[in-house]
Amino acid sequence: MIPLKELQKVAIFTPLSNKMIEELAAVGDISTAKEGDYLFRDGDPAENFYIIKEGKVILEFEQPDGSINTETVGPGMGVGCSSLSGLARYNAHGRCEAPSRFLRWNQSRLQQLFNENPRLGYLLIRASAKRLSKRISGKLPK
Amino acid sequence: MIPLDQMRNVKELAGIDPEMLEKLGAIGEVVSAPKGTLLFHQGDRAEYYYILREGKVALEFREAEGLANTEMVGPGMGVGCSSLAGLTAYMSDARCEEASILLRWPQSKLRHLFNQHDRLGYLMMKACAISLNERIGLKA
Repeated sequence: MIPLKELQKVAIFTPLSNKMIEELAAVGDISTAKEGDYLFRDGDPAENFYIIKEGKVILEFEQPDGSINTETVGPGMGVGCSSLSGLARYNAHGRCEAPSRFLRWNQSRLQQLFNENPRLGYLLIRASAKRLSKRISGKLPK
Repeated sequence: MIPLDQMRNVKELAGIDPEMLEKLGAIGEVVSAPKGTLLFHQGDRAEYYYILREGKVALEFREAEGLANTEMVGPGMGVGCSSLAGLTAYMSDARCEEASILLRWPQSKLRHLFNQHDRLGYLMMKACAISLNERIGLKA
């Protein structure tokens, strides 16, 4: 159970009603991790979806040529979006760059919630897709 | 109007039952585009969501200094995900690299349909998010 105040002012929840936010809070929890901890590794079962409340996570995407593409994400951003969209496995390593605190949801509980309340699934995944679209266009080389 | 047979075996529409596919078909259309056609410019109003049936589309992400990144999209994949995700403007140019056939839906009609049929919206958005997740890991 996540205290409701932890879900306030999280951008991805803006389109959700209070009742939907309460439903989400009921099936999530809060987790913490130390600098250097791996939340997940590429190929692990996509068990959890996270939103960073505090700290920083580096996502490392292994490329077919052996090189690695990295992206750093901070507070308010989703991590483990594979899990939110129902993919079986993560497609990146997720490693904490600083001591971090997360809102965390188990994929199976989220999928069950979305099946019971598809409107919630639609709105939450749409908000996540909007951010993913911006992240894809923002990964341009500087 | 999109005939049902054009929507079968499309990865992004997997899991959607025939009744819902009919409703999707009713508000969409099939468009053909010769090689070189620009489907949209970066910054254009995100009016349509496309699924590529045949051909190849290049998504070109631009910055003030010029072209910064190109990504190729093939059959079965979505083009113009900004529209499906509810963004107001496209984030890239989209240009047909080959003669292409696309399924196309206006954003406003899709939103209206999803507001009437939550489960359809959920399944379409989930498929779009899966595709975006696969793309985000690709090297720029």
